[in-house]
Amino acid sequence: MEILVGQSEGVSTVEPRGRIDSITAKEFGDRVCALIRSGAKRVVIDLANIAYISSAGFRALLIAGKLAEETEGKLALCGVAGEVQRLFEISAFGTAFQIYPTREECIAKVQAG
Amino acid sequence: MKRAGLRIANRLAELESVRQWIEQFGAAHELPLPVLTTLLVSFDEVLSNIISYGYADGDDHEICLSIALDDGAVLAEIEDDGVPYDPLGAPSPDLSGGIGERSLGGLGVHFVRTLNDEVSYERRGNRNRLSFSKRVPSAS
Repeated sequence: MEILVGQSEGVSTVEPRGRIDSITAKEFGDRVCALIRSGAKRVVIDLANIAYISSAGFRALLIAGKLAEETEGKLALCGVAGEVQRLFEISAFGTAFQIYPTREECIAKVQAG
Repeated sequence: MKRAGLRIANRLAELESVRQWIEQFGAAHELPLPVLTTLLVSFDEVLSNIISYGYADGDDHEICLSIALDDGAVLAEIEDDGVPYDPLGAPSPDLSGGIGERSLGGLGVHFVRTLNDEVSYERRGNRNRLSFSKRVPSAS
């Protein structure tokens, strides 16, 4: 799975591409968790280039979110739209995560701490 | 009526072939994105469940899949010879709470039930058969 990782003003950005499903969820989750364990305290996951996410993907996000909380870091999401948004609504995961409409706003909110 | 069939082994690595098979069917019949997504997520949820939990013997097993487009609806079927398992009998997940409170039990089944218009399960002899269908809105 292609996962772009970058830095923007002290915030780590993770941009997976394709889909987060039973095949790709482990790689995605491992990548985000490794980033947090290596010290990233402010993490933005941009899902704009994800076509869909299954329960395996939500599991990976949940594990990463819990790790961020345990390490007193911040993790937020952006790029939730279209089919991915529909899946978030069905799962009611909008209440479990901070989700922002734009990448810029997401980075700013995570930066603010 | 347009139909596609696929047989796979009970290995998670097979799921990539399934994804491509669904995408090809979707492209060939110009399925709208919400219908395609329903198929992709539903097959992922059900198959990963069957492959991970459906067999106690560690042996190779065959799982039979089909998708058909008929009379304005897509009908998908998954048939396996694993342990009897009716996913429709699983309890609904807890959809409330923040990260600390959430568990994920039942989320996959919840997706399958919610994304599709109809889902049905049947046990026949030593086989489970799960069917799910979704209406395809016709282009006007």
